[in-house]
Amino acid sequence: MKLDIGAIEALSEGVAELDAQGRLLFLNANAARMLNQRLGDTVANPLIRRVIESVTGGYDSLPLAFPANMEADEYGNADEMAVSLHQGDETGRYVVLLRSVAEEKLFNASLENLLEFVQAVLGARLNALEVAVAGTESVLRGRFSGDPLAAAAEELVFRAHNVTSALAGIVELADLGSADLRRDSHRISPVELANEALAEIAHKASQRGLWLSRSGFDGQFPPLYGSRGWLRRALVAHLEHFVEAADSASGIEVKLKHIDGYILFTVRGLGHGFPAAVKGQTCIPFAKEAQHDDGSGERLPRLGLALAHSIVERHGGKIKREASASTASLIIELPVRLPDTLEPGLEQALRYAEELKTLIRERRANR
Amino acid sequence: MFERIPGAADFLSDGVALVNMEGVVLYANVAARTLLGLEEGGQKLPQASPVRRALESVRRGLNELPKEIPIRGVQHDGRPMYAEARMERLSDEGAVIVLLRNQTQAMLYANLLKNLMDMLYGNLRLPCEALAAAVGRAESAMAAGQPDLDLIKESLARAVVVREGCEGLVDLAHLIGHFPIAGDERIPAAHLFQLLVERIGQVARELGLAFQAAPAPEGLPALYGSTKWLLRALEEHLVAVLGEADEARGLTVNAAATPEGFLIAFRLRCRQRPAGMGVGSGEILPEAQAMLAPELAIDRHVLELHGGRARLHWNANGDCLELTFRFALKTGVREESALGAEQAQRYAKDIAQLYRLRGLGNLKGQEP
Amino acid sequence: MKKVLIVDDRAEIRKLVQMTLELGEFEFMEAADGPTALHLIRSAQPDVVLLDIMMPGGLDGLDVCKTVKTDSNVRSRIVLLTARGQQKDIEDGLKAGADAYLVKPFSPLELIDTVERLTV
Repeated sequence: MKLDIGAIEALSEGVAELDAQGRLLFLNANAARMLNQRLGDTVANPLIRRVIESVTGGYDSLPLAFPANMEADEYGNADEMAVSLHQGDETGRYVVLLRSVAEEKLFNASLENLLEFVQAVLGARLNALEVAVAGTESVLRGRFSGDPLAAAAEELVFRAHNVTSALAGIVELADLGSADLRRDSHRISPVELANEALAEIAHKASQRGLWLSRSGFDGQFPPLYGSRGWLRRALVAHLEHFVEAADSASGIEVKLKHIDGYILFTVRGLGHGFPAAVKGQTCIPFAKEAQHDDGSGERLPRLGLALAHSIVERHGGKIKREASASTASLIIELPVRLPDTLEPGLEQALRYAEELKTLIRERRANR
Repeated sequence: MFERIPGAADFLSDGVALVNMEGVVLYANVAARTLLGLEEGGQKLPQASPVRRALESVRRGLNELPKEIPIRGVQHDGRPMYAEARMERLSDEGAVIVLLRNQTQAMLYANLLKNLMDMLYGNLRLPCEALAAAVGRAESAMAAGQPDLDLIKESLARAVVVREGCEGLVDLAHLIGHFPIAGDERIPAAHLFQLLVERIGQVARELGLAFQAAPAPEGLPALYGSTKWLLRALEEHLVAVLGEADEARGLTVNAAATPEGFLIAFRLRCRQRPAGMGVGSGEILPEAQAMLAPELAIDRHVLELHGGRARLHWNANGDCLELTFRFALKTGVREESALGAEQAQRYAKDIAQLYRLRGLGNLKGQEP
Repeated sequence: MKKVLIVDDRAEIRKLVQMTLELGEFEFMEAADGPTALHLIRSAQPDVVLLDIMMPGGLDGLDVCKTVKTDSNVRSRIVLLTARGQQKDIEDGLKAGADAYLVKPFSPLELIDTVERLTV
């Protein structure tokens, strides 16, 4: 089946042609992106090279299909591929088809995460609500003596709040999920971002008697690219958690640093630090329900942190946590995108420009 | 043309097929056979196949290639398949290459996301708001030292409703993730309008409804986004209510440019005014629309992602109820940073044209 | 040799356009913003200017086009090469005096034809 270059470019698959030494003789835009290589390079993926060697050595015959992990890009995202190797149109030529299974895996991972979250958080709150509902119903039917009505009602109100806030958070997650953050390409000053986030929690912090301090804000920072609004929400969510968890007469420090192509926002508790009971759950995106030693009840995590985690990941970043005897730190790392990196599509267009010129010259020579 | 993937075609997830103008399949890889709904060993496209219908309309001069059409609802192993078919004339002999991009996975995600959105906006948002309000009132009463039994009972009743709704949520498998609803194409508004008119016209005909569409005015702008999602969002708003339409008075549609973009208006006359509905007019708000058809929540979301809005107005007089949908869509300027892959495709297209000219022997630079 | 000035704030676009036009006998110049473009047009007098519209630096492509086309000392032909593709944008561009208007993503064949036609 002959396909013209326009059709090959339009395929979902990455298509590449290699020689027996693994040199790339052709690759469409998807293949260039998936392999992160150019025309004329020797294919870097060790598994693909090994398979070609095995075929040329006569140990394997074509076609062959296998999974392969691609190298992580500069943001630490590594794609997993379904690869198939085929005989090319000449001896010593091979055709590789590459299909990303990342989306499928993301689907399954997201699904698992969501179910886990829903069951862990919402399920627990619903169970508690159910108990409160049953308790209140019993009271209303006069099955308890004394006046437990107020207590039952208070419990009901508290549980209902928990449920509605969890649901509100799920709505937020859905909103985030349907936004394609990669399409946002605003230039963001890290200092401005941090200052905006601190301004948002300043009032809450002062009400709790906490002080806020800044460090490193006078440094020179390259801009971040992404969604200013969502990044600010992510920072604010973590800061709010710190504010609520910290003892009064303590403080919160936000430190900014630029290291190795990453902007680091470090949020640290100062002063007396966090109560032991809370420390373990600080900054965890979402944890299962946990009973405290004193049996005081369930302490369930904030939905906001799951959202914040997701936002940072969507910008190619990571969240790290450090905890010591008295304090907890959270480090949000966001990659600095290099604005003059040639995007794969234009790089592909450059390759095609050469081919186009060859064809035009040929045409003109034949006139 | 040149040969790049001999023998590998059956491993592609996209379908590749070669078809003549009569709908006879000259070649099809495995994926194409699945996405086109070709029977085992079958060589001709089914009569109802969208590709066959498109070829017919090209043959009759009503349309021309290249053309892109959606493929929906082809059944394979009990699962519906979805694809985007791109059809391009291959040679003067009339063979057409059909590239089918398999969209089934994407549609699966979309349906799951849609279920979640329905559940949240359609079924739970109002009960949650009502519960929060009831709880707030009960709390105030308790804080004043006077717990109110009726308020507590109301909170209880509302909590039960929310609890039952949530149980469905916990049971459902949903996806919240990186689903790209809004795409990046340049969509001429006139083209979108024409596609919508064609699709609604077809549904109207199947329901036996009178259908009239005014021609799109000149000078409509271009939108940016995803044709397929916009079309779906617009179409589903209408399909939700088409069942109520009066056959004879039916449906009319027109479009107009606006300062911000353009507006499509669909007017539908219903068979009868619902009992208990007084004379008058007004707007049917989004929450009420969700009760009409829960899936409208996702479609509204898609329109909003494109900077658009859908409003539904009603007008009741005499024995008649008229519904008018107004879709206001905004134009925008394309982000230059997003053009890379499309630019490569334009190069590929021009190269393909030069190869075709070479292949047809037009080496002297004569245009076909 | 005909002179072609390529004006775009994105280096990769400038590179792509230059590579595509390397078929002809052209001498290439580049500018990344309006003020530099205007300076080069006046000093080097290119035969054709390929001009992006959306650029930083205070002067966008339309401003440059209008300024050049009302300057009787300058004979450069202007091709607007831009992502702004609405009918109104095209009309504004031609009203500003542009000799041609190409919408990104552009067809390379159309780009070549347009530049060759304007440098005949």
